Amino acid sequence: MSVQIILALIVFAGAYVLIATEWVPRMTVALVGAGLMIVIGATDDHGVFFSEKTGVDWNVIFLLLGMMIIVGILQQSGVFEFLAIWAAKLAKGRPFVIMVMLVVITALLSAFLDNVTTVLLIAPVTLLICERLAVPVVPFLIAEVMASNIGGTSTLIGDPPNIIIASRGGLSFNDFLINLAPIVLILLVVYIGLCWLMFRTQLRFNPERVERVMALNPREAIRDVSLLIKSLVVIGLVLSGFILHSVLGVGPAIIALLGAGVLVLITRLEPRKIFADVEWETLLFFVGLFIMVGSLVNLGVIEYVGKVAIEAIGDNYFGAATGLLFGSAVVSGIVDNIPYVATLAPLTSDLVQAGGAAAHPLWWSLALGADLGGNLTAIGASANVVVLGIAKRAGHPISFWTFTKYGLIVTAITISLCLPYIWLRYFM
Amino acid sequence: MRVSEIAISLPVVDRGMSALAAAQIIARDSRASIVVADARGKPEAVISAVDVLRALVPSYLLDDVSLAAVFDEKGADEVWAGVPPQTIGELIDDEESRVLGILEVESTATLLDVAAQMCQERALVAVVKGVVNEKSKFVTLPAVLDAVLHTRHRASAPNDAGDGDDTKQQDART
Repeated sequence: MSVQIILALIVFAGAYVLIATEWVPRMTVALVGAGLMIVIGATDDHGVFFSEKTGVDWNVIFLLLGMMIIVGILQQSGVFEFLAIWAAKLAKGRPFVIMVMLVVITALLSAFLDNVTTVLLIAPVTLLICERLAVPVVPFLIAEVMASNIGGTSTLIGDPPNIIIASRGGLSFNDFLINLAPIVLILLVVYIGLCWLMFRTQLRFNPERVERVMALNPREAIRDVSLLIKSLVVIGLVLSGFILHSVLGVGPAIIALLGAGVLVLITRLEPRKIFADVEWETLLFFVGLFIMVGSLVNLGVIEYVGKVAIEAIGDNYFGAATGLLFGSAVVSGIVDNIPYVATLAPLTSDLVQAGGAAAHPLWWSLALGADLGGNLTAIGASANVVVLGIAKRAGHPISFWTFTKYGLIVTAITISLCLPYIWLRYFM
Repeated sequence: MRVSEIAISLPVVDRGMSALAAAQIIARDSRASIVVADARGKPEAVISAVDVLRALVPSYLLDDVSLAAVFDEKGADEVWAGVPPQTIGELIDDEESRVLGILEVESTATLLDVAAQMCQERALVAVVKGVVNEKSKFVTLPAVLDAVLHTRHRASAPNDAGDGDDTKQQDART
């Protein structure tokens, strides 16, 4: 092993520790790590900017950018708040029915929006509804964020790890829908049952408070009807583009950018509002990560690990899928699933190339494990951390262990249910 | 003109004061902000009236302002009572609030210098370096504006002394 490889591994491991412990902002860690990789000669400017295998995955960066712009504009319309209040009124103030409706809405939104955006939209209106009903908000917030992590698993754009997996694995929007949406649907039904078991004792129906929910006027939440219509039309076109992208011959990133461009053009919003929800730090974090992982690919580290893994697996791909599913769930529950998947994706790509069609389900094991593993602990997913912050500010703090005790149950059951799905669907 | 010529005393509150009490001071005296001191009595921050108002509005409405419109009048009036109490210290430490540390200026600084610094920092108040505790002296934005207008007037009409008297009354309110 050369000194260069040892140095690259030290930089990579150090960055991983700093990202996991959050001692330093993750964007800073990723960019400094990327800079160090260039300094030690693990990669170069051509490798960073122009290599499909070792460079920045621009498909991921621009797909995220396009979707952030579209969602940022759509959320200014107030449609999500309308939906949540409408659901609460439809449920006539019955807490568990409201919880089920909010869980379903959250999961559905998460399939098309990133999870952090979804919980940022749904948490404030949940606080309002719970305050009106005088029911504890903590069960609702926990139920929603977990539903968001589950729902986000179902599509290519639902969770950032899926975007990385799609790009590295050459998988389409429809591939995700066909392979992951069915199991996510099953998991959602089971999850609603789990919510009943976990939270029912905390959800007391108070008929005297129902009037306060029924007095809310959801139509007032719609701030700009014209903006809402334009946004929904563009989102519809973008989703159609994702589904038809193999027919159109245009990649998801270009479709998202075109959609964002059209929306900017027709809404004529000022730049401050257009880019208000673009998370530049997240995009730069991805850039740094891709450079670090690309450096390891460039030095042959990933290829070496891949060869070792291929030898260890032999032709037991169900065993590999099982290991990847449970291993990814545990790791993603403890560290950010984005760097984890960014690292594992090239390795999985090597395994799938070596094993052919028999090894292809490994992509779905990785996605299911990494996405659903986010529910394991309070720090398992960015959305969890965001919800904990919202709850604390509202005067309803959720402790790490309060979240994690529910997370352990939900993750254990959802991941365990994925195993028979993978076996029945791909290895029978 | 020097800063010392327009510096005044202001009431200083401590971190333990409730946001509600701070709101009462602001409302009573029609202030735009209040100065907060640390445990040693040293001014550490200026909290604007808007930030105090933030402490009285439910956090979910700050996160999503469109929700405020869904209440009817009765519901909207009920909301105020449900907001958990907050201290000024908690408000300062809240990452979401835009409370800034207090700008410090030398007593010998010119009006131009302090005006430029206040613009850069978007400061409503600056503390004059030197004495710590209740004897601290402050420069307020209305006082700076008043002095700027007066100085401009004098500069543009040097032979017409006395016409600027109407701008001399400094508003001690922050």
